[in-house]
Amino acid sequence: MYDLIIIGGGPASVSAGIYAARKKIKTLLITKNWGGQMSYAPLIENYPGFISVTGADLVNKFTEHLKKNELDIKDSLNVEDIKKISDSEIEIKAGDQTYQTKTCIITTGRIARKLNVPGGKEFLGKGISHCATCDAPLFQDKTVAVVGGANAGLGTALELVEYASKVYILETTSKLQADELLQEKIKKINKVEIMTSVKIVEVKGDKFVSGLVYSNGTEGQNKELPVQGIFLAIGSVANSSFIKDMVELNEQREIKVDSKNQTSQPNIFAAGDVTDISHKQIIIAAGEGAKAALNVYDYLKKLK
Amino acid sequence: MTEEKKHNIKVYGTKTCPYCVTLKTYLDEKNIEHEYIDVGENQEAGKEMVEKSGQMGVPVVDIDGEIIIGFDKSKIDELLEIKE
Repeated sequence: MYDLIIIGGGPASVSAGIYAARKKIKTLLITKNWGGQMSYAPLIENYPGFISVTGADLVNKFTEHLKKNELDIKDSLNVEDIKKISDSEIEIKAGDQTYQTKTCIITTGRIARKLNVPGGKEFLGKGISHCATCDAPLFQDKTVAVVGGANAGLGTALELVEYASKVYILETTSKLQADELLQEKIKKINKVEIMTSVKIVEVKGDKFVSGLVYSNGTEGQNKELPVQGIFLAIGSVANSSFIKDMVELNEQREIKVDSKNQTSQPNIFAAGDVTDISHKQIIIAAGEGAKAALNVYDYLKKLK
Repeated sequence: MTEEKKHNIKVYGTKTCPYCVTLKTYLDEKNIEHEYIDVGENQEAGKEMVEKSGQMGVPVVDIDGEIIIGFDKSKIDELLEIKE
């Protein structure tokens, strides 16, 4: 039986793991992937101690630091089910194993929102991508569309113009939502075309994406746009569905936590972007992870 | 000592893709020889990767002709008989 199981592999998880190990809490960390959303960040310039670092590099630094500590780690493993036995026992099913623990910290972060239109699922990885940082080079001299006109969308477009011959930005509202500075930068690039007040309604293709259909809000006026790539920048959702029946969520499906990172179940804690805290930042998630581990330490002391 | 099986391994990735970096680091740590192909620079190899894997995401690993999409550590471990 573990004292603590941490679920997730982003900054909240890593920081919780380091703090728990230093408190000599018997800890297991289970994660499918390392880094979470930060691994997709082209550049991070607001994490103290690192003036400018790629997401991938910072993730490696984090995991390297974590692994210097004494705790058990299972990666490439997905948590399928969490069962509460009592206030001092939880059972966690991951892969073909079951693990018992007194407490757990959920740090499963957020996942990219999917495109909920016909073709949106089928063409994922076949022209539809969530990660320009990863896949942009595969769209050399191709026509692509970015869905979403906020900061993430314009950032994605800036990565794509390095490779693509034409980049459309599709925004549902009447104007771009991104910071002015970013908008100015984008508007100077000739191969970028901004389309506002349009909504994507279908993705077309055979084996791969060949185009998209968009609506301007008026029925019967749908138009087709030939593109080979569609990059999604339509935000993210809390990765909380596996635990939704166990702990209280808010309307955005984020796990509700109190100032001690405790959820509606006293022995289940949560930290980082999966929770209802006000800002989602790497530094904040890391801080919350540390705080959660220290509060788990206090909780375990009271159990004895 | 048992003789280790030689595998023919190709990794298709881009410079900036985080899981490509993680995957390459993993193979390097295990001292597994592999060819790393940057499909951002080598467009022909990019086409080859898309044909082989039927999709357009990186990384893709080709182990003796078997195609793995993404950094699927358990599948890679299984094919290369890596034990923890």
